[in-house]
Amino acid sequence: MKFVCSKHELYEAISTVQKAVMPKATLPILEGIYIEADENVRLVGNCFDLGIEFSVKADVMSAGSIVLNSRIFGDIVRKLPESEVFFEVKKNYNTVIECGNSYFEIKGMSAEGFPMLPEIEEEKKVSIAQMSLKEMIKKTIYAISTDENRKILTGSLIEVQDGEFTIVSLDGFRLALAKALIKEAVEFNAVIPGKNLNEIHKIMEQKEDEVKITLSENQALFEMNGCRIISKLLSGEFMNYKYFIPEQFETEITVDTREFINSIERASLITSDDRRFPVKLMISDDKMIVTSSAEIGISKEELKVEMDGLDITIGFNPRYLLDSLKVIDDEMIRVSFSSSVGPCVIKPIEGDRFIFMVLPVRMNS
Amino acid sequence: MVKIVILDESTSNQIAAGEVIERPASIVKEMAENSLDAGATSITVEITGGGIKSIRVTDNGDGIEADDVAMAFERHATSKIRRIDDLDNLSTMGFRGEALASIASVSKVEVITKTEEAKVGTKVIVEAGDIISTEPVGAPKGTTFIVRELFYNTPARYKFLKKDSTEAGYIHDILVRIALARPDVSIKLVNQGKTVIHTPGNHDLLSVIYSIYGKDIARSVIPVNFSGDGIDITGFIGRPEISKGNRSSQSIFVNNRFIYNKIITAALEEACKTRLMQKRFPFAVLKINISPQFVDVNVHPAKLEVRFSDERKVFRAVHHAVMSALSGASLIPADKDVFKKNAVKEEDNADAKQMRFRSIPRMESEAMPTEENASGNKSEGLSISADTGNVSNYKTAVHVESGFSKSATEAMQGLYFVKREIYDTASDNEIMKSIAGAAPKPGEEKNTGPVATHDNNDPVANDRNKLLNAHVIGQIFNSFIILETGDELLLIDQHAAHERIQYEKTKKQYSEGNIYSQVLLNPLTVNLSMLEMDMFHELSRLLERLGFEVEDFGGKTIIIRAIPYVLGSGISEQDFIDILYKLQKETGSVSEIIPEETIYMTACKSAIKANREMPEMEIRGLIEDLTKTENPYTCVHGRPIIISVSRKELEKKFKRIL
Ligand SMILES: Nc1ncnc2c1ncn2[C@@H]1O[C@H](COP(=O)(O)OP(=O)(O)O)[C@@H](O)[C@H]1O
Ligand SMILES: [Mg+2]
Repeated sequence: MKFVCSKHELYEAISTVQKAVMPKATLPILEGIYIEADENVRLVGNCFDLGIEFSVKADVMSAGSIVLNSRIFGDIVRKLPESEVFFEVKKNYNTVIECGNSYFEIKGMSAEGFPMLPEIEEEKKVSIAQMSLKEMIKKTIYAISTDENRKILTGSLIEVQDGEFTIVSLDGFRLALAKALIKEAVEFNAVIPGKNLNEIHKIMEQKEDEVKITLSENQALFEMNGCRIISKLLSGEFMNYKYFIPEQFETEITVDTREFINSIERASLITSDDRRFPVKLMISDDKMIVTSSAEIGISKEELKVEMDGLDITIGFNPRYLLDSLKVIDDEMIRVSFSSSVGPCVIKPIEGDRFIFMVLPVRMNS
Repeated sequence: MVKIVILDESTSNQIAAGEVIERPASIVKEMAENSLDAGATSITVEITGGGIKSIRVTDNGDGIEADDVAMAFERHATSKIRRIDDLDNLSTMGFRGEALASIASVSKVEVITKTEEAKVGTKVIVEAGDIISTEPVGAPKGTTFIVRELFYNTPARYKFLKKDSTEAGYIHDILVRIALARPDVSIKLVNQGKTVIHTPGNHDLLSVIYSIYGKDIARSVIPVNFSGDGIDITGFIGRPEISKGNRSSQSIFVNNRFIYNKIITAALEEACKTRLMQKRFPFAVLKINISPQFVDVNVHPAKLEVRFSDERKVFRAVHHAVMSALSGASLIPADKDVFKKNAVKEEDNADAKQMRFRSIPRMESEAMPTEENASGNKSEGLSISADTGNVSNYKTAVHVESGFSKSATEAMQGLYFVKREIYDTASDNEIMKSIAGAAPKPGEEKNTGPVATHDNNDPVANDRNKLLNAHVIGQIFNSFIILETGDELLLIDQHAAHERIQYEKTKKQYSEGNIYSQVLLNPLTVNLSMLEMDMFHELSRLLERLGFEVEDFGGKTIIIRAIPYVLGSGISEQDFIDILYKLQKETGSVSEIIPEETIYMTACKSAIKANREMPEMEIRGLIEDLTKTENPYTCVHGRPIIISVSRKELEKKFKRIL
């Protein structure tokens, strides 16, 4: 096995598949990256929860396959000069990596026995623009629960129905939902572990090019940019999120997103990093007063809003509001309050490309 | 066809014995309890071969009438039932007249006994349950039982016995419990001719602790005294420096019965938490007296368990008792501890010689080991490795240094007990005499009695004054502060001190702030046990005040709709149950329910580090703040904040005095 490729591309491939390699395994082969050359070169990492296959353009002189220890292979290629890399497997799996004036010869392992990515029988398939999926993940991933006791909530639900592609994450205190339209008429339901979704998010590019998602019983395959990612699914019933989102509101406001963020950030200067004090919103007469008070002092700021409905005073954990507000690119948003102890819903002015919901803090003194 | 037969008496005794006489320690327990029932004030247990070869129990109790001796070995023969007038107040805990019969059926027993009135004593020999001989002998008042060759006729049981040293260890433990339970009775254990336990029987618990655990432990305990709510608690709790890595030095007695109980240990440990390093357990001898009505009698009296009808009350009482004991006592490790600490890890024994060049782990790391204490450590380390479960610093009880090498080698040969050496070298009599000098008097000089006194009028206030009025010498290594006060040098760990200050401040802030509650997206349902459900109902007002919104959902299910804001990251079912238990304490402020780690972390993060220069103004401020803390002695991880070195100790180091 022998090929030449660019250091830059090879390293990109390595660092991508490394996300799917166990850092510490009992079997050395599981700490390895699988490398195969025929027309192209492809690298595979697989830790069973997640498997990634990445192709690299290369001049292949002779075909073959080998497994190299992920850490050492990665470290070596990272430190190589920006130039062509010569890769050759000699006898006894001894592998030569040459670049510029540097020469490495490392011991490899037989590729036999490496857990290759499973084939996914095309059960259900859906395609969506990469940049669109990337944006939806960004909008929802922060609301994933970290509570390992409720495993299902450590992932995001992908729901495809009636030409809509929806991602939902929620934890005990908030919910984040993002939606896009698609052409295919399929139905599709899967909960992807948050950790894997995060890797997928990183690998996707800001392009119109589509990512193809294929679903099987307990795995989902994402294909794009010459890369295949297989993620296991979280099993169990995801919460019936629709049930939580209220439809009736007491108060609704339209507010400038940036101004709202700034005022909450300023209010939380007072509460600092010490998580004992919420921020308070007092809404009346087309204005919203954002205040906070802590031992060190108080803060107060007035914002102009457009308001419908009743006056309201409501408290929030500033972090939860900010998490949601910060992923919004819209200049103006619609914020709706069901009651001073009920959920607050943040949406675009038009439509429902995203729905964020945050539960309030009761301010009984 | 199989014929139905009635088992002969000796067989049924063997079966029964299998259930109760498991090992030599069971015999010792039964015999000693019989002696106590007979009103003995002195009990001596002598064993060989771990008690398998022989056990001799001698008491000075009432003795048995000549005519009754043979009968005592009959099953269900007891002289005690007629004394039991009130079943609730059952005071004997034995076998209901089965112990002697069971013991006699699996060993060779000889008894010599004489009552006050009898002119001569009686000697009876029993083998495998049969009386072999009865004859008059000359004997003092009291009873001696000799049990030989345990399980000689039941090889299967014999096989289950452990190594002699292990069996001897069990006997040791049993007698320690009895001795602690009954300071009014002198208990002596002699193993292979060596005295390993000898308590004075002078009604003083501290003397018992002294004779069992040694001088250093006895000097490092704080008395516990609590009474209220139908519960009385007395005993002693160890200062942080004698804590251990396991619970083996915790002895809890409920109505004078040794027991294990989760609620009590939890309360004890909770109370000591911020004073102890993580994974360290306090030394404790606690005696809890509670009206028998509140104790579940359905638990077998021979078992080491107990159940209370009101666990919350017990928890609160113990917690309160220990807390107030700790907060009222000075916890500055004395100079002795600074230079001569025991608690050397087992692994360190092997190269005890090199030890003087190494620093001693953990609490002791501040102290530079010296020639003198390095040799001390050698034997002290061994005493621990010998697995007695005692951490006593034997060295300080020894006046003749040269006695050591001998005792050390002996201990090395795997002997179970090393205590005997103390008595040998320090001369048994001398120590016993000093113990026998009744309970220590208040205000007694530290060095005159064997045992430190604890009832100075408010030692904490004294320490606070001492700190405030001390002369600031300065800072060393940019990490420690040195103060001079009277004849004492105080060293303060600046990080530990500031951490303690920040910890108490943070905790206070948490308990004083406004209460906000975070509404949950998806209400959490929690299933509770009966007990927990009762606790929930009792605590529901308090829970609400803390920011919970919880409803009874019927059955044993509750539903949580909102949680205190400070619990930020949410709670699980188990977290809520833990909170219920925590709230059993009287305080019930928010700071009780947020995980200690959160407070620790905030405190630790905001505390100044070591290797940071402090101007004198800052030093003074720090000391002033430290004196305002509830516990100026140990940091939140249990390490000492202040250590003291006396002038005398320094003079000794410089060989100005001997
Ligand atoms: N050390 C002793 N001193 C006096 N009497 C004893 C002693 N040991 C046993 N006895 C007598 O033998 C009886 C039987 O003892 P045991 O089998 O242990 O049953 P129990 O203790 O339940 O009565 C006791 O009731 C008591 O009268
Ligand atoms: Mg008895």
